[in-house]
Amino acid sequence: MIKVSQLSFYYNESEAPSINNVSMTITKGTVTTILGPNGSGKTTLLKCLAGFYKTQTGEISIDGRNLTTLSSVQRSRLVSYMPQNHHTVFPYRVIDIVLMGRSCHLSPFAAPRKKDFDLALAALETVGIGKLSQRIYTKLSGGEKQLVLIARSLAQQSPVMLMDEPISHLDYKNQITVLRLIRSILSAHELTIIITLHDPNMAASFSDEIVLFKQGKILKKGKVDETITSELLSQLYDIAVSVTGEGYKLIYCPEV
Amino acid sequence: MHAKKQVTARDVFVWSLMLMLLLVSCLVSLSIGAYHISVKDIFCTLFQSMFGVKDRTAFVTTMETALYEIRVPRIILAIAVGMSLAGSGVSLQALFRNPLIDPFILGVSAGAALGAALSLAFLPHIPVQIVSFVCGLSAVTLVLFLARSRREVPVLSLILAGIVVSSLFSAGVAVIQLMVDPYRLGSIIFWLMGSLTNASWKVIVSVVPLMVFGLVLLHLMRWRLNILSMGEEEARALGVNASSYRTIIIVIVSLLTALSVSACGIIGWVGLMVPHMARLIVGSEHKRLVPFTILSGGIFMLWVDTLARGLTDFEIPVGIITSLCGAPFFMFLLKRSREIWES
Repeated sequence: MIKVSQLSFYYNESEAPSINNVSMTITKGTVTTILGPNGSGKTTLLKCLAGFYKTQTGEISIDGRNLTTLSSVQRSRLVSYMPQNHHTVFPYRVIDIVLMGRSCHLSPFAAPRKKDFDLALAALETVGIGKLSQRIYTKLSGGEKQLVLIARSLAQQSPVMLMDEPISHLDYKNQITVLRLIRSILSAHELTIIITLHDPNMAASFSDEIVLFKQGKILKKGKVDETITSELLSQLYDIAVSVTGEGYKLIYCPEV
Repeated sequence: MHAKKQVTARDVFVWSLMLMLLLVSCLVSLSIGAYHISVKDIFCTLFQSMFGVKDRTAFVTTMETALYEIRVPRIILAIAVGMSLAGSGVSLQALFRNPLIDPFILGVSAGAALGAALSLAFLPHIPVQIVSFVCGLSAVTLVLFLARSRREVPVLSLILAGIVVSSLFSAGVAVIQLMVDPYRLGSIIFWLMGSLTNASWKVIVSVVPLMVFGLVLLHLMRWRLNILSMGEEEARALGVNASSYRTIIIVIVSLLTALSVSACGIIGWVGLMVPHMARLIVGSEHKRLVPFTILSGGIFMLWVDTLARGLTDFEIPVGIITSLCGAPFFMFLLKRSREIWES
């Protein structure tokens, strides 16, 4: 269980806080999606959860352990983070990228051993790209790169996975592939996954819980039925949005 | 599922080839110089002195002096300096996520040079290495301070800051040159051009052990360089405390560069060229790349120094040769870098 209480964070004291007194609880074994307009602080919230920033007030705990008091090694054993717009300078092989996920399990001067290689390969098999292990990462397509990063998070073996817009640069088919994969690893590996998304349709079709996030605050958090409504989405994005359908939701903007 | 072996037959082949190349290079380098010593004489001398043959001829004794007092120390120093510069280059490139960085561009060399010049001209009581290390470290700190904005170190500002700080420190060296007496001026100028003529057992004892220490540390951290090359945030997400690793690596690199500069002046471009050539052979993964680069650096420097001694009757400063091949190499990289690194 992830518990966030009264979390506030600002980059500069002169600016408005990016995260403004946020409290929420996230249940184990669920996918929670953070939806919100650009600049709402989604990514910042995710980065706070990953422990990148020293938050000014508030507390984040995972299974009762306070995240801020942990070292980066201890923290990364609990939480993995998948960045958006991933860019590497050096043309590493896919297997080398996945192996990086093992670093929090290795001592400072150690290099990965056979066991780590096996785990990394198994992670690649899980996401269905075992045959790409020797390919050059920078030459892969966007969809394949995302799968590699998911495999890296799996190899990290941390119970909580954070993903920052994992499908934002993918075509429709790859978006669905990645989201399905996320659901399947969720149940197979007993994970808790928090992701940010832009498309409310995608969020509605695959999340357990949705957090509507605007201007550093939670507008509404709850199940799909409670959050994906015409009123709330219109309020979230400041445009008229319509939601139709029972169970499976179809969200569209009638004014375009 | 079959795990691909970590050490492949190709690795074994490449490594044995390199080690053989190193041995052959040493032999060639032993034989070339102010006067030629044939390979047969080298072995003969080595054999006689190794087994303590009594009644050695005058010829052999002369050989012994030439080999043990001049060429062997020089070869050891060349290899150690080449290894240090190449090892520094490859680490900095990973750390700053930029294949066009080396200790020279980052201002470490200029700082170390100022330190060494200060020590040669005015501070004869303090060892060159120490002054050189302190100045090299302050130069790179200044560069990082100038280039850093909002937790990031953008590549362009890094290179610009490097140029500014380098020229400041070089100006300092020029001022020192104006102030010292002509006798010392000559030695400072020759030393600034980079040369291994000062090689002696005394110099080796004072720099090589520390170089080995620094290189071993870099070698031990080599796998982490992969992670550091992903950027600070990502490294932290993977459980690697990027800022402390960065501090450690910068200190080691400053130490290695300062030791090289204090022993043989400014030898540029090695840290840039060698990692590139090594990448073409073993790939970018640092667990393989770092040891290979270090070894290649040693071989490269040995060859360059042998050329410096053997090309003409007088000795060409090594720094001039590395610049002569390094600058065009950099131009080529700069032109091609878009295709290579942004594909």
